[in-house]
Amino acid sequence: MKKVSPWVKGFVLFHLVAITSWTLPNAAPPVAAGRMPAQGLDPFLLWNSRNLKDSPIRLYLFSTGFWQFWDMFAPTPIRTDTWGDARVTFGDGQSEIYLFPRSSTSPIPQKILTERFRKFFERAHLEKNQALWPYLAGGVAKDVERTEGRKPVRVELRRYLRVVAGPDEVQQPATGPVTFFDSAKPEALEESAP
Amino acid sequence: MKRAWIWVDRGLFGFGSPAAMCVFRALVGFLASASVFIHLLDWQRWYSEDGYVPLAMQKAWSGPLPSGFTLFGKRFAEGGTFPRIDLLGSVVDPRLSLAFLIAILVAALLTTVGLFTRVSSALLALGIVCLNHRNGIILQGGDTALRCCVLYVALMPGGAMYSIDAWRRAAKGDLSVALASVWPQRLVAWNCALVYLTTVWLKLENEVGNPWRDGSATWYPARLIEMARFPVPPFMNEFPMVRITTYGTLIVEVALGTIAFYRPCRKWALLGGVLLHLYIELTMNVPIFPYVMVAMYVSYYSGEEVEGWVSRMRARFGRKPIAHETLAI
Repeated sequence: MKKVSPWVKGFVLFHLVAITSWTLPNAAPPVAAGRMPAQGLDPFLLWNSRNLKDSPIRLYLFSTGFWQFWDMFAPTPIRTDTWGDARVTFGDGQSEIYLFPRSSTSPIPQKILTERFRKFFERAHLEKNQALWPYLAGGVAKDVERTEGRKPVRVELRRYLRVVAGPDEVQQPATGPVTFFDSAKPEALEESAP
Repeated sequence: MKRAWIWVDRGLFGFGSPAAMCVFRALVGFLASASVFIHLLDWQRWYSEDGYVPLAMQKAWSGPLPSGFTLFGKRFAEGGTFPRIDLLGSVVDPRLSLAFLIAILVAALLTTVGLFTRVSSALLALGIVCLNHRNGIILQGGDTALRCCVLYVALMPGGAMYSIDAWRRAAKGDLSVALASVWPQRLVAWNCALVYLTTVWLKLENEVGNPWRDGSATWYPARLIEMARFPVPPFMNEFPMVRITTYGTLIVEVALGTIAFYRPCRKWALLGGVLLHLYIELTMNVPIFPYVMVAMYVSYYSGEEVEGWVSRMRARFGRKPIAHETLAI
């Protein structure tokens, strides 16, 4: 009977520890910062964060592609619809609205394709990802140039938000458009310079 | 201690029929084909310098991987960077990106049918990892689950059965199927359980105002217009159904990470999982993810059970059982 090599066994055990350690939640930030006493499983989670998650396990998972974290609909389910468009202005002063593909306005079979755009925009529009905005505006300009044959001189990225009301609340209409990036502003142009 | 290790050793590294792994290979190959095809339809926007995510944007998103790490309380390799598997990390020619995507699609199709399985599944895993590293901004849960699955498939003897490779061997008179160590299958099952258990843990983490605890969690996603797919009867998104689907989700997820490993309960836990994902698939636009998760359920069954099931199906449709002899090499 063939036997499994000890090297393979070592790898499998390491991998099991690696993915388990990485997918476990972190201790709450106040506990990690020492502002709150550790309770229940907090000491274990703190130890895991400091000793396992920050060990070569992190390098193994992120370099090979085995990284994973399962926070879909957790700790609280997503409750905000986000979508966006862009106002593009051409050299002759004309402007038009460029629409990012939207799931809600797509026919059902096409929704599979538009989900990527939803996920992309949901992340890209966030203030913490400001560094991405000049590239996104550049991508819009290139897309317009490709489809219309003329290059915009200005791109304004705009977002719309619709927060789902809770069971005892009244549903409010969506807010927007709110311009969150304007390629004509000097600071934006500086950021977009390669 | 020694007895515990023997128990672990047998469970994790024992040998058995590779049938379950071969079915898993075909399912994951098919889902990877579908996923790569979807990527291909918008390849210019996602994987070219003329799209939304040029290389510089991806670098701004994920940044280099810092090499510093802690081991036994001490810091090592501080200040440097560690490489990722990323063959597209410096590709600016759109023709190369397109060729790369087409090559991955071919590898995925070959993996599905089990032709040159060892090579095609390894190339598929390499391709998907590179694709995910090239543009991490568009990834969702289905991409992460699929990436892990293709990596596991690359570690499996996935072409041993139910494949063109096996058919070609049989055509030459070689009907043998070597017993295989089941550790890749166990990794899939463990990973699947981890997905469910850690998500429940995260869902129940906060005590105050937590909709998973007060039973209102499914109220919100059901009302997201950007995530909606097929319409469902209104009562499904009202109380008391919201409570039933909220707590039902948690119960099924816990079951999939625990009692699904206990044979008498397995069928019911997995059935609960299938219904959960079917409902998500019907109502919410979360492509690929439900299918990848359900494909992982195959790993809860032994190869012998899968072989028996295939034989019964063939008999039901009046076909002869597949002739092969399982060899304990």
